[in-house]
Amino acid sequence: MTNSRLILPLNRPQYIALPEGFLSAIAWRKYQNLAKVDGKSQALKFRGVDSVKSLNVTFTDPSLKSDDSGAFRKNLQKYGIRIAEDQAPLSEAVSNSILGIQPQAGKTIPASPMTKHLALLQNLEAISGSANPVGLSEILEIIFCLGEQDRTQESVLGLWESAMEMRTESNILLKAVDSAMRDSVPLFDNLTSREKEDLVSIEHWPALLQNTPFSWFNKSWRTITSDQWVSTLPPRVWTDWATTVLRMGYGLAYLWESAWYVALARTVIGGQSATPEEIISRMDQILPWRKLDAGTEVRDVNSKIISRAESSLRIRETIDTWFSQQSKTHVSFEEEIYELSKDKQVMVEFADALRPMNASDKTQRLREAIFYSLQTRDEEDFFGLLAKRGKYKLPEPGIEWIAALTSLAIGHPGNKSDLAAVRSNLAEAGLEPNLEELTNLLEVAGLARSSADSDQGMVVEAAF
Amino acid sequence: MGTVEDLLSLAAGGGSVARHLLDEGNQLQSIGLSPAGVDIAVNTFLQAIEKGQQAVLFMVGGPGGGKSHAAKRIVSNFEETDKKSSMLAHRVHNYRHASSGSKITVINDATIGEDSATEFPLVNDLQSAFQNGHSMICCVNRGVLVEESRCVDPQFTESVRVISNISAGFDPESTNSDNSPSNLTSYFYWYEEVIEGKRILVIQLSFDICSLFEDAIHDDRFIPGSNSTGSLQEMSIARFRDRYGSEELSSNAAILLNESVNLVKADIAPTTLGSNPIAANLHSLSHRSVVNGLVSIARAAEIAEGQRLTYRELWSFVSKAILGDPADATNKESLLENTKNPSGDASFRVMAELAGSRFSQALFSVRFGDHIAATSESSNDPVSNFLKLVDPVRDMSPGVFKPSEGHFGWATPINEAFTGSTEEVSPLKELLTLDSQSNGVMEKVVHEFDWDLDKSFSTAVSDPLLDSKTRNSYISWYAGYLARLFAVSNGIPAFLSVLDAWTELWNKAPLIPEEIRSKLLTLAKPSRNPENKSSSSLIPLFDSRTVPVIGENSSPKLALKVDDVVIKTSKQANNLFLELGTGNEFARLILDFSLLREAMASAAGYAGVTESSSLAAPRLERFRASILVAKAKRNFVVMYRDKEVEFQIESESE
Repeated sequence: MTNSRLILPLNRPQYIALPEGFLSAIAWRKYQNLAKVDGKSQALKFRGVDSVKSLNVTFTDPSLKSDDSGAFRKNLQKYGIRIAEDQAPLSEAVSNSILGIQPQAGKTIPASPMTKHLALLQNLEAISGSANPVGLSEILEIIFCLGEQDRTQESVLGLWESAMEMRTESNILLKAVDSAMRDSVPLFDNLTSREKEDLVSIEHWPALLQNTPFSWFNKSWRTITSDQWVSTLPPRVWTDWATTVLRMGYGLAYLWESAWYVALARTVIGGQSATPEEIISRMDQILPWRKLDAGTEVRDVNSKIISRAESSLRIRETIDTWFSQQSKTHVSFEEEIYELSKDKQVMVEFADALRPMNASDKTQRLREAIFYSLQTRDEEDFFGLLAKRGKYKLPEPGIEWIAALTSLAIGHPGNKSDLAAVRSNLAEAGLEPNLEELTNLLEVAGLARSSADSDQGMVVEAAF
Repeated sequence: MGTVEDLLSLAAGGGSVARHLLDEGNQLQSIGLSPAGVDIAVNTFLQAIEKGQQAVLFMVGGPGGGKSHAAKRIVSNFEETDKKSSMLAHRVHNYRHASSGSKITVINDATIGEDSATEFPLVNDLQSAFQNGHSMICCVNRGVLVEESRCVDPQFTESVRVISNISAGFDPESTNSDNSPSNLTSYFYWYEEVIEGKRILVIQLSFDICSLFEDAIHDDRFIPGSNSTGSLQEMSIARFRDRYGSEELSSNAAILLNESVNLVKADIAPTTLGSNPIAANLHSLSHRSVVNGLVSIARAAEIAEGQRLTYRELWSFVSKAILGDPADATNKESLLENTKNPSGDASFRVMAELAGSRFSQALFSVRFGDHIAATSESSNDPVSNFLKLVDPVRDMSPGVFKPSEGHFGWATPINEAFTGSTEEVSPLKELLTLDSQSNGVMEKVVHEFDWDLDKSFSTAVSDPLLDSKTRNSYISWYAGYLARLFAVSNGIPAFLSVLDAWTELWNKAPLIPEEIRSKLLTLAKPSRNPENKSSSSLIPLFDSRTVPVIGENSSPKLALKVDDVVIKTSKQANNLFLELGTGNEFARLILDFSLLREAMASAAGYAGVTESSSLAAPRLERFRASILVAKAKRNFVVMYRDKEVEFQIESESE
């Protein structure tokens, strides 16, 4: 055992500047890193500007250059698109139609990753502007595994690949676009598959992580990649919903992790007995969701998340340091807790870590990873959970966020369920909006109509 | 206590209403109106017990619907076997018939869990009633039914099944799974099933289906025969334009309001009060057409909000209509003291504040200084919050009110009343003159109090020392007062044309009148160029939101041409649905007030925008998104500038 049992086996995160980066990272997980060019990492951008000197940027939009545009048009025709008028700007129209969210003043304009080859049109190097971006796809696989109860061999990538096969089977236009894109981007000729690698050992965690954002992510990813949802949702809507599941899973997992370390430190200091289940039961709400009329300062989660992120990182480091100094092997979780609580230095550091703290540089990556995944990006983003109001961040989900999460909670397209089921699904993700507010959100999204007496029994319909 | 005190105690709503109404000696109790289906449920249940059959009656609905009242009627000839303190609300009461020995268990409030050790108390109670041969009355809301139907304990299989049937709906005789089970859309429903070897009659009575503000349903003609199942679904929603001009009190709400007015009159002798807003209310509400007008306002709010007022809320409505908005009054003396006109020449401010108790102001909780009714943040009164969407001053459409001819504008007389000569300012006199020309009802509505208010207004605005800002605020407030008095007395809510169209659609479903059809189509698929009749509707193929393309587009894009959308409507109890189809596939969205209002704001092929646009947009966008995945034949286009070039896809020829 190389790590303490108390440490959640989750790699350190980084913020993902564009939501499209999540699906693109999954798509690239299948392949080995692109070879360096002139000693620089290769960054793929669909459109945008070449802004980072340390990267070798390739623009993948085939309609950008006039000769490529002609080739792209020919490829589109080769795969079955028949257009009578030669004048019609077919390749440009296709490229414009697959644009993702265009951030204001953004240096990268992504393609919406609606199919396999559209997802490969950009990589994390380009999105993060860094030669060594975080291993996002591995983190997502770990979150998925941590939430997995049945130890199946399935993976985030595997489920996505079958969904994309289903996508191109059911949509002949996108199939033609996907094939034409594959033939039009020269880089795609030389991709080498990556060998399957083992994930870190996760041992006892999945049993503990039932009914947490980890299990929520596992179930939701299985649901959204199921044949029924892939064939029911229009491709762009599917992509937006799948991205929402990934964003939420990523952000909420790290929120859960922060709350875990804080509860653990409190337990050790309080000298209470502690099985991991007991520590989990003492955890704070990972994202306090107060009533709308409670006032901005009370509803704000910014300061709470910052403070908890600071505490959790210090607690994690303290445990790490302590563990590395241990000479004997501890046989159980409870024993580690017991040993930890006997160490005076640890107690001092824990007590110190639990004091409310302001943001420091050390936790910047963790903070940003959480906020950027949960926060509404711009006015075109209807899938955010947190709204930014000056220095505050408030739980005010976008209208399509509630449509997506509710529909996935219901499980099958066209089905109905009730408010209680939706609430318990959100609670699994760590979100506990007040009943009245949730009712209101569902009504605004057109998914439910309340009656005076239905309470938790209010009928809720899937959006598709 | 007198009638006024009784009515004051009902004004605030809350749980005391049920108990208070059950008190013996409450004058108002004598009005005794039953919601739809109660009479038949009571009779059916008692007849079954008389015949020795075991019966279970579920009375389903939110608080204040009249469930406890109905339960009390059933057990009136039974003895309570384990009588409990009447001070507390209890979950279970047991009764026994003195001669026959039949036993009834009443779950008075299924939300009370007295035995906290049991996770599913209702399932437990029902199972033991089945086993012990008791009949049972169960007052329950839908939320409890959903929660209890989650029980998976095998020893309670029968009772869980019955509760699930009531909660999620089922039809023992229906083979068509597409239709909603009739027990979810009926106000009265029954079936029989064999449990523990006995045939048990299960009755469901829903208190939230029929509006108290529509014609009352007389179901005494109906007696469940030998059929083992059946339902009563018949309900009517009057077209709004047909609500006008009748003197007949045909709804439960109208009868209740009318009789309450008579009882209060007997209690306080209004003619002795002189210029007093409550006396003025009693005067105005003595006229049946005015009573019907108030009922129409409440019904309009029900349709606009998509909800129904309960009996409890109706009492609060009646109390406000008659006694105004009695701030601190708890008895007759304090109420009359608070509303007393201090002298014949009281200032406009004093009079205007008293006018807050006039029915047309009190229902919307409008106080002096507010032009528009208080918003939800500032009003904690559930009834005025409910009514505020249809406050007539939100939508003062010009015109002279002729609903039978489809002319729903009404505010012209109000405007004209304020543009008269300045020599002697009396907007009320002007209004009455104009109203009498069209045989209006205002002559009967106006009371000595209104004349005193009018006089104080004239005096105030004629004062040369009055600054123009105050003067304008007086005029504005008084215009709002007269507008509300006029509109509420006539039963004119805001957005009457939308409400009339909605009731028309509900009555004609699945047909849609041509004028509304074109507006609904404009909303669903606005054409790219509304000026050109042959212009198509285009939906971008891969955008995040399926907002149709209007006008030229700057950069080329792919789109789907949508021309062949068919629309129809369908209804289920109070709900109206819009069904939009392409090819053989239909998407169904609820056609409520906000969606229809949005549609009716569209003109000449251009989609309109209202404050409820954000409520309607997600539903419309999802409909359009569903077209994108429809299996029907597709017309794809490349659109650029103002052009559209179609293209086809042949299956792969790799």
